[in-house]
Amino acid sequence: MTALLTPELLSHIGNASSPREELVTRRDIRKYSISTDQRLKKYLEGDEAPPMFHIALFWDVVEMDQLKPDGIPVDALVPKFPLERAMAGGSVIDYHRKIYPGDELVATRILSNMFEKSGRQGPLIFCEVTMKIETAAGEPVITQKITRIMR
Amino acid sequence: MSKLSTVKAGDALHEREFKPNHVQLFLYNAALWNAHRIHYDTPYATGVEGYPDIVIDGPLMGDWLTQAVVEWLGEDGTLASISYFSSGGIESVPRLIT
Repeated sequence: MTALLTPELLSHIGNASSPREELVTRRDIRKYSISTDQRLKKYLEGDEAPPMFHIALFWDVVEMDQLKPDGIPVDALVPKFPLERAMAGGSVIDYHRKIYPGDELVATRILSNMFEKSGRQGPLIFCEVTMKIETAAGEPVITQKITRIMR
Repeated sequence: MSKLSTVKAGDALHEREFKPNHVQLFLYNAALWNAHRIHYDTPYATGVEGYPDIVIDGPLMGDWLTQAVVEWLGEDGTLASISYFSSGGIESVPRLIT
């Protein structure tokens, strides 16, 4: 079924973003750990990042005029879909190395797949983006496939 | 004996109860720089998107799942991989057990 996903939309599969570099700070780890209800001291004190900290580290930091009316930033990697209400789908995350304060990490995102399904309330578009995170020296840190659902 | 030597697919690992509230959702989305209005703007979430209340972020629930695993695992190993999928939006502020 490809009623919504035209050949033009599907041609975006394989597009990649420019690499983004971020510096990990103890303060950012602490803020993330508190906001997610972590209980382990190493996370709350910022000695080590919790497993999902990279989500916050590489969330797009955009200016307010780049936000759509729903508050989501325009993502240049993903084309405009005929369905526009977004919700989180899921993730597959592989961990290769832990993250610590002072780490300089580089993330690259690839639009790895898109497909559609029929949901209970109508059609759904599934958009998969794969994010690869490495150290500045090229050591693998995390690979994550993120699925976002448009309805 | 390592916990990993006895566990098998399908076993329940560890229960942890989370009671998120609006302040936690604000702090979480601020930590991310996530402005998606369904997570903090109640009139928008209910009136425009049709949710009963503001919506708990999918990655936040994913984080809670990792916490349940990491706390159960302790020093017996390291988290190598995890996957999860949301079956639908979850509105604030129900009790969630991972």
